[in-house]
Amino acid sequence: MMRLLICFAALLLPTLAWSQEQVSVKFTSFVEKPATVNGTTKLVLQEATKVFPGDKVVYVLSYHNSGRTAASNFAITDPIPEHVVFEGTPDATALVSVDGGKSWGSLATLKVASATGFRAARPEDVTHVRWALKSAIPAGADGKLSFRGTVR
Amino acid sequence: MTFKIKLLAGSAGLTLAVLGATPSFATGTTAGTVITNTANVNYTVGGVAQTQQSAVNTLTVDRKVIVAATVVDTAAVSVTPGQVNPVMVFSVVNSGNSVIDVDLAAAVQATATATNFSKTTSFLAGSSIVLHTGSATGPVVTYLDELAVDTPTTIYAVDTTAYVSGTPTSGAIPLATANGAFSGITLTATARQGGAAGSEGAVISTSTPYGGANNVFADVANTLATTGAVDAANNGVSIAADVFQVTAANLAITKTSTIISDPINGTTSPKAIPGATVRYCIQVANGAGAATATAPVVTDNLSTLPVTFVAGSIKINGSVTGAVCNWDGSAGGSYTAPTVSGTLADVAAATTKTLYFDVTIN
Repeated sequence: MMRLLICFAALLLPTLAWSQEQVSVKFTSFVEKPATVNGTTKLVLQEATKVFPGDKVVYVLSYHNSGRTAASNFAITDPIPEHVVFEGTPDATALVSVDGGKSWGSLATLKVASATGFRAARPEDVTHVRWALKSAIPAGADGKLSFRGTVR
Repeated sequence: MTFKIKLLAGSAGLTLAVLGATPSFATGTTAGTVITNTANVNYTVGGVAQTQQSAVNTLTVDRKVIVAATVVDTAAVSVTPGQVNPVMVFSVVNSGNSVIDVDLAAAVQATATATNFSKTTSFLAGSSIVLHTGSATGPVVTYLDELAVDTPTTIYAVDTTAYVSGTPTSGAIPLATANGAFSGITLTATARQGGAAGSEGAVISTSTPYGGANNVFADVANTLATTGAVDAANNGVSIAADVFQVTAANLAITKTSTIISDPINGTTSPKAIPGATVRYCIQVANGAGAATATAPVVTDNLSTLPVTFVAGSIKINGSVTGAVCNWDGSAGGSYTAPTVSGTLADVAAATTKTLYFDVTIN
């Protein structure tokens, strides 16, 4: 009798969405600013929410699995904001779209229509970026995804 | 907080972007714009899709205030002593990312000031300067209202200082000003808050945001006078300097007399005896590098001389050889007792024209 009860409990658990945000995602932004370090001036990234036209921005999506089970098929889709020009992403698994999210691929494989036919897509043509993690995120694990753009 | 993120390989060779360098954005995002980036997150747990969540980031675009005043004239503006309403031409542009008002003020630079076009000021033009847009007779302005980004406005600075009769040191370009003198006029353009058409906006402060954005000044410094109005970068103010250059005629008047004939000797070694004919020649010589003397009027009052004017003898626009008049003038001028007068043609720099006439010794 007891064993049956346990089995039922195990079957029931996954359907209770008791962890609404098991994987929490923070979306932060960093801006390149000149900073003088030991007498030499170079560009560093500073967390910022105020920008000027022309500023180089790095958007960072930080995820954390706070649950006790792994999270799988983790995917983030981000439409590039109107006032930002996409420049690139360091994440090898990222895919981009240049047609409003209809089709996806790596930038090198994509083409856009032009007056004279089709041309290779350029970073500024990107309308969306998407990450789809192949592996599950273990419980308690976290990671970062990012892309780079310029403020119009 | 400084966060070190590995930059993309292609950007490893980034050079320093200097704040205040010539703005390269033609149309920057308007100040106060909020850039909202919404990412959609999906995942499964135990094979069950979780509710999609959004991760949101907002960036606010701050205000970069860039105002620039420049001189349109490509060389010092040539003026003559006594000239009325001389004009200098400037241009003002807003190269920031929001509409601004621009306060305008014109002032005469002090003398002995190094100014534009590699000149040094040596006289003071009149200080009543009125600013116009459109043309030298267009609408008068003291500020530019709601100046849009990247739309240069031409400013005509007209020196309206009036000449005070009998005072050669008065007027826009005083009569007493010598050939080759320079006067500098500065136009100071100060960025003011935009947003309210029809009235001049308040002073912009970097510590007081407005319109939902912080303010940063990013104007460049015009290299200008070493004294007086010195333009600084990144202060919301831009100063341009234009120069008046006085080109005056430099006339020297000389009068010579030649005995043409006498009743006894005729034209052979004539003597200055009663009845002799004497020719007076008035030479008008303009110095080298001077402005052309336009239609100089020559007059000669004979009332103190014991002579009688020979009617019809006036000739104008004769030439000289060295200091000696040539008798190559043409009929002209007039005599109204006791004064001979005549108007010469324009006398260019380094040239001489003459008026000559005959009298008989009483």
